[in-house]
Amino acid sequence: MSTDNATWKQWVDLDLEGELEAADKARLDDLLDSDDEARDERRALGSLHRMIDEDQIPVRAGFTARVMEALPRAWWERAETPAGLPKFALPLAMMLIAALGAAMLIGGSEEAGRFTGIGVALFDFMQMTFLAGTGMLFATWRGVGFGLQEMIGTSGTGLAVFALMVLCLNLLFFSMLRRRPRAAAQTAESGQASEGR
Amino acid sequence: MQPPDEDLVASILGGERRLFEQLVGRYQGRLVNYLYRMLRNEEDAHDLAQEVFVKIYGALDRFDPRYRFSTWLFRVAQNAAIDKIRKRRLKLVSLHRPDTGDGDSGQWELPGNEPTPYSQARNVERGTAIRQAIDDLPWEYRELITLRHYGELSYDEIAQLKEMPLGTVKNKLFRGRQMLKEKLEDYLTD
Repeated sequence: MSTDNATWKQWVDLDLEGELEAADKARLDDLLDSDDEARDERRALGSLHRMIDEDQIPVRAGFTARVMEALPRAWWERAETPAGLPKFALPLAMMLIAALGAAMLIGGSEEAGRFTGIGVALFDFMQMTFLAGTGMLFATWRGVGFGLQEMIGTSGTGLAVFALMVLCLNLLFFSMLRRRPRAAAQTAESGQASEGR
Repeated sequence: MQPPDEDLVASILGGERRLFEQLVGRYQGRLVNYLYRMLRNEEDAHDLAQEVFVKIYGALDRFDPRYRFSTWLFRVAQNAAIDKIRKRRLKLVSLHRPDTGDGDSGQWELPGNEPTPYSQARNVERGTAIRQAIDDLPWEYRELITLRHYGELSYDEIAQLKEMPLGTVKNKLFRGRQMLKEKLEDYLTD
């Protein structure tokens, strides 16, 4: 096959694929008008394209339904909303907080009415609860701190026991972290590996 | 007008899980046929196509919308098919048995694929010939021919998937088809 032959044969091939540039197409059309060999090439290639395109198998009935049934709950779906909470829970909570904030602001002014007073009282109650909770937490941690200080400071054995406990807790924590997203991680890894190849 | 793949992916990630059905519907025929050409087995092609869709769904949040969904899907499918072929090779036995000297052909007698109603209605001889011709192509051509004709990917998509210049894709597909034309000369007269 000479270079010229290869060139126009590739034009024929690209033309059948709709990939031939306009300038080359014009030249090919001229050639097809005048050259029997070019027309034969086009006929043969066209026949080849049809032959390949006809060689298709049908997709089994119900394939889509089976795929949909096989879909697991993906990792990214789990991250959306905590289980058991309706989707409107977060916006509702934010609206309540905003309403309480507004009530607090209005409640500080002279126009504070009866209804805003209720909001202010509610806010005060929540504020007190928060402060009490914080205080208890602080006290608890201080208590834990004193306890630990007592345990670690008094003997080497106590220190060793404490170190072992910390190590065990860490191992437990990491094993939980690894177990939870294993399935999702496998999917993601395989996808990532695929992209990288 | 149908929404583009990328918009569908965004909607699915937004919580509309059922829309994935549309993506499956769009690509199932192309994917099954592509895998069928790669694996040469209808059952395996369907099973692997299902696995690929499930895998894609699980990793949908990692889809980069700068690239085409089809390219991503077929890349995952291609790698899955290659893995499957590799695993299969471990189980393969030779089709040639030692010559017994009794004039036998030296080939094992293997049962053919059971003809389905679909294949019975077709020209079996032509089908067999085209499959054999594609299977005999060197891998680099067979791969592109399969992606183009059975995966129905555009030249641009193939170039992106294979990370090849567009000109190289055009040349390889042209050469691949020329090889097929020579092998199938007897069938191309009509």
